[in-house]
Amino acid sequence: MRRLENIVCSFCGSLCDDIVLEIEGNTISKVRGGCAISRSKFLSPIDNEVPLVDGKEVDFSEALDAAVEILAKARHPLIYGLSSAGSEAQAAAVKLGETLGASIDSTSSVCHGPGTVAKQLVGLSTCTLGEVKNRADVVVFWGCNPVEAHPRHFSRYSVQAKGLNTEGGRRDRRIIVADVRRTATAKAADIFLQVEPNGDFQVLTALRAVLSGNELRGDTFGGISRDEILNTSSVLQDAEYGVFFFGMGLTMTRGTHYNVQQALSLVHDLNEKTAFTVIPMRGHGNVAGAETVLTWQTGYPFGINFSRGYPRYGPGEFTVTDLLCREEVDAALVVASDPAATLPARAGEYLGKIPTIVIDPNYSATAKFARVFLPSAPIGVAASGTAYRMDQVPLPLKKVIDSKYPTDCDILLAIDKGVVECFAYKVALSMTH
Amino acid sequence: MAFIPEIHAILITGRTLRQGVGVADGKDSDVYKKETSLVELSSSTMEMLGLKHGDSVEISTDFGVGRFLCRKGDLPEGIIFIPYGPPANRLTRDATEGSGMPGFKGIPCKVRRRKT
Ligand code: SF4
Repeated sequence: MRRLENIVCSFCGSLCDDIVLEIEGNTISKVRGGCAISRSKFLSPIDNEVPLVDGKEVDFSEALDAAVEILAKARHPLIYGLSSAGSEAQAAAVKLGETLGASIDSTSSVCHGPGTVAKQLVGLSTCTLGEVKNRADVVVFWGCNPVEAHPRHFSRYSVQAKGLNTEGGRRDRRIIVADVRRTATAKAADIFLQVEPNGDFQVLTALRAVLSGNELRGDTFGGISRDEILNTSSVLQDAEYGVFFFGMGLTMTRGTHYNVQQALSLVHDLNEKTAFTVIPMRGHGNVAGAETVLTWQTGYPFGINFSRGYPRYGPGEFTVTDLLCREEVDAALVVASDPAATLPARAGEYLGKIPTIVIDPNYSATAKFARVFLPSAPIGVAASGTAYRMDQVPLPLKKVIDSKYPTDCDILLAIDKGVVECFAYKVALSMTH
Repeated sequence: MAFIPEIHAILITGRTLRQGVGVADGKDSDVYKKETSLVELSSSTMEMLGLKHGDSVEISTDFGVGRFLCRKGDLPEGIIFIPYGPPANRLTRDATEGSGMPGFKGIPCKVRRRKT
């Protein structure tokens, strides 16, 4: 039996790096320290799938050739997903996107994409989760529910965690939660702001108005009373070091990036009075990496198109839901993601009408109607790589057992090589005629 | 007591712990399928519609319709909640209004008790 310590769990954006695994032969037998989701992730059997073309089992190389043929023939292919892949695979996907003249988008466009657009407009005063643990005495969770979505966030970083200036852990912190629902996170709050659906922009605007010395006219703002606004504003200002986490309660509701723009501006205003930072509560394990890698490779974080030979940025134009609902792409390559289970039905269903290729360690809902399914080694379990935590800190993911399948990075590089050869052959052929 | 057959509400979709465990276990797992076919309703909504835990309701939006089993949730009146998943995706707004983001939260809907 092997015992491995300080293993990173790559399921959610918290990337807890204190997991202990016990391994017997080539199987993970025990997971210590992780949450319920992490235990499911590490204990799920691997290599249960087979390569498929049109639902029939084939050799891996045959499936790879079929993928190359589909992509090389496509006029406007889409590469989508990437948030549960390692950053090395994300870079390989960009390379392939450029070779193909494809559109490339990550799950960011349907989670924190609008927050990223707001970040481009306002900027982001941010910090690491280590600073949250050691310094934060006021913590805001706006439209996010870490108790259910990031189960160890409270204990490792933000609420019970004890640090240099927060030796008392929970006792040393004021917790503010804003949400439409009284979630499990809201139940742990000192102040709970139960916002009306789509009322976040109003509440944030009222808080900014009070902070800048204006008098509020009216009794309620987005479902929050004037007294609650005044009280919350004074708790925010009294912070020694405040941190504002936000989630999809801001990015997915009416106003999308305007909501986040207002939240980031609130944090900006608070810095006139005290120290305040903001961290987007990223969901998938490496969705922060997808934005980081795409930005350093293309200049843009998501919703990118290479059809003119150089990258163009277009949220609402080159983003997955728009491309699929408008039926603008004629082939799709889905990497470590399951759009059929996560996008609005019409978008997911269009993937069944075009040749779709899925690279994933698991046979997903999308894989069920994909033309080609290429199983890969699961990252952080049977493949090593890099993932970016929600605070942009890169962490190494370890390979702890072996898989019979290649990594998604190797598969993407092999497809790219195949497509380059196909294109070269086409050019050579056209020159002989 | 006469029950109202149908009410108008606002639909919110989102994460739950069991949905997260289901994603890690696989989308064919019982835990995932069960969790994503549930709708949470407030006690007053359940009373108005004459529903008990586990009863079936039909939910419709401008984008689609689906059947869900209900459970009681700590929700304000007029708000219903469905965990992320394929059944919820039949009800969400696919137009992104130029943002890239579909409407997963704050969608007007109707909830109707199904005859048992
Ligand atoms: S909180 Fe997230 S990263 Fe940490 S163990 Fe749980 S699933 Fe893994």
